[in-house]
Amino acid sequence: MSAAICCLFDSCIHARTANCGSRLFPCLWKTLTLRNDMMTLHHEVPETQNRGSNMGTEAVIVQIILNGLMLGVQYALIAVGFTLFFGVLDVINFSHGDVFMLGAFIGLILINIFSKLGMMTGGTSYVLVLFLIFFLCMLVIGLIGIIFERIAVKPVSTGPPLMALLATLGLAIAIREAVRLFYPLGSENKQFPELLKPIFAGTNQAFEIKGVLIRYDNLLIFGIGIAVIVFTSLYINKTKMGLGIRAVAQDSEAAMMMGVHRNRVVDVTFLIGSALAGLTGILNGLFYNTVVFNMGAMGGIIGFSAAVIGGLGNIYGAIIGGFVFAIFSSFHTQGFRVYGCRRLWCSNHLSRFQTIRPPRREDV
Amino acid sequence: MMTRTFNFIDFLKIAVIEVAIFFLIMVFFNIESVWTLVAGLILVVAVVVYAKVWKRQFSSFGEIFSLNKPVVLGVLLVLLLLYPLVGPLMIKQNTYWLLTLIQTGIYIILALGLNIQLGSTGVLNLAVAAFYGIGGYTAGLLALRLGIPTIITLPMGGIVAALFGTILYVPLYKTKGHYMALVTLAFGLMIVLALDNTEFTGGPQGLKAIPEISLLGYSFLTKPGGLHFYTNYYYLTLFIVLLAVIISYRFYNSWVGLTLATTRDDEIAAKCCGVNSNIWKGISFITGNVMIGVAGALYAHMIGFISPHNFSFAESLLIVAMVILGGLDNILGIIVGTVILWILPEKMRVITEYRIFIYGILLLVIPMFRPRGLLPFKPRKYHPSVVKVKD
Repeated sequence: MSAAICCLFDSCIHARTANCGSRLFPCLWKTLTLRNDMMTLHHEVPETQNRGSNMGTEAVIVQIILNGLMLGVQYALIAVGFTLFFGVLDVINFSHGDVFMLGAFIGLILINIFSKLGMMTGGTSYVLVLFLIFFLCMLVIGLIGIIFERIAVKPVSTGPPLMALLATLGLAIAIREAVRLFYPLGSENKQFPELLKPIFAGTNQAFEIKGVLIRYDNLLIFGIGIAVIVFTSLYINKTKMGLGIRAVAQDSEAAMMMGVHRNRVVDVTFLIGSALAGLTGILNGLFYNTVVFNMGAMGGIIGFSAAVIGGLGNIYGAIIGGFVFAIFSSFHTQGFRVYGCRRLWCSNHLSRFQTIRPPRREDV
Repeated sequence: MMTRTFNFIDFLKIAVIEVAIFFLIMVFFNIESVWTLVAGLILVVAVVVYAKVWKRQFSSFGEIFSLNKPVVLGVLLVLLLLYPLVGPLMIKQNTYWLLTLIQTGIYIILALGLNIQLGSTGVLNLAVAAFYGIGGYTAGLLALRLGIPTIITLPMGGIVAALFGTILYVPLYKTKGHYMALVTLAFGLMIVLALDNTEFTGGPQGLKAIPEISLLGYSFLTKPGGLHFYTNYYYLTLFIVLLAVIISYRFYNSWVGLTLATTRDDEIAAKCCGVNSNIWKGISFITGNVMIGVAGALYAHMIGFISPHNFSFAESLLIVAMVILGGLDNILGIIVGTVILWILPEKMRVITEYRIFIYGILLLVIPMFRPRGLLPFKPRKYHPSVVKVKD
């Protein structure tokens, strides 16, 4: 287990910073902290990050942890889905990352519909409409999740457990390509509207405590995520259906003997897991203001890794795994910004990340 | 059991059927319009369904095929050997399909290597592409930087991949099940990023102008009798594929394969019977990596250019998909799965944009109808009296 974590953290470090040399020779890179012109190549560095060099060390660390928490809540939500599916059905659902992507796009569609209807004009009803969008997206994605379970997981349940991996992999490719092909201009980065800003229209969008800058909308994203996580864990621990889920996860046959309706439990599990992924899609879109059709691939890997780190089948493990993963990666990414190694970041950025992830998504 | 006497009529039947299939495949390569392709695929599916529903008419053919295995394989081998000679006469885009077939061969080697790990032993290796890349980079670097002859670099690719596999196995053997998959996944990501960021290996631009294979002074860029130079690589790949298939069958049929299978099916029971599961898992992991590394070296020499992007996680998933789709621990099934998953997408280039979409749908639909793989694993038969074993 510890070996797994070690290896994973290594990969996480590399994935986020995309540089091995810098990790091996930190002193060397420190001497290279020239604020050279290459920096300008780096497109619009957000306000919070530019302030890095003026901040005290403690403030920087707190800022990094806060950024990690904002991301962590999203990773945790994806990981909870993975862990639920694994617990109940013993399958690794590779399409989960793409369901997360689908959530962002369905959120985008819903926002477009609502703004066409003229319901996004601010005022007190604005928050209600926002909640409606969140709820509808979760519902739609949840139902889609049930359909996906019916077509990709149930038919292969007689085969070896790895077969579900293959079917969900095919499903993931199909979803990704469907969005790319059938969403208008689907292969481009999509601007995600900054829905949360109008709520704080009267304020200056952020507050500062001892040099740590906190944006209200990020705080709200964090709050929504935490609330949903708490709600989910309450549902699983306190209700009858939650008891059924836990029972099936523990021993499916024994649970059926005790009168648990297994198929219904599986449906509810997929409803919950997919709905969480859908919500994460919207939160992710709000956080980065960009969505793209292939963001599910990395989301899926991170969610799976977080779930495995925490221990597959354990919800709290997944939550903790998500946060640990996010804070760790945030530390490393930000560490470079603090030391001013933007040149490396730049070259990597230009060469590679554009193909894997859209540029703006790296500016966490 | 019927006596195994050589029957000329049977031989003729087998030869006619195989040659017919061979020419049908060539016609399939030549199809360019979408609707002809769809019609052809529907026809193939119809024939398969017909054969399944009316088993009786086909059972006599099946019997002939199953009783005369050496003849079947011999005719198949002759046809495969003849392909580069017949191809230019029959196929419009001959070079392209020759290259596709070579790549199919490389993927068969990869899938068979993974099968020893995943199918026989149950070690889910999600870093196949990384070992593939290690093999390729080893061969490329040795040939480029040191000028070592290719007869050495080809096996060296496998050996270095095995060395890396041994190093990875140290943390790996402490883990189990999905944690094992996670460690290999992380290793795969790490290797790609390391290759991407090291100056020595050319960084993201990769290695360019890797010299071609030359064996005993015969450069593989010479054109044998006016044929394309890929013909050389075709025969070499065919040879290595045959080697891989033979090794896989020997593995499967020996007590080693049985030991590995016990480890996969029930590790505790295997340990109780005195099987040191850690050692056997390691052996299978490393053996698989040798095959994967050799495939990488072959690829590097043939294409002449490799970059870290050739060895991404998606590549690993593709190879895992080939093994699972074909049927775990069934060598023939894996070959069929590889051919389907590599040739069909190539053929689907006629539908341009929708290619990957249809590919995903196929990956989703095939398991619906064959949940245990195209050709599922069958229990081993050790004695002729054991005719049917229910699993």
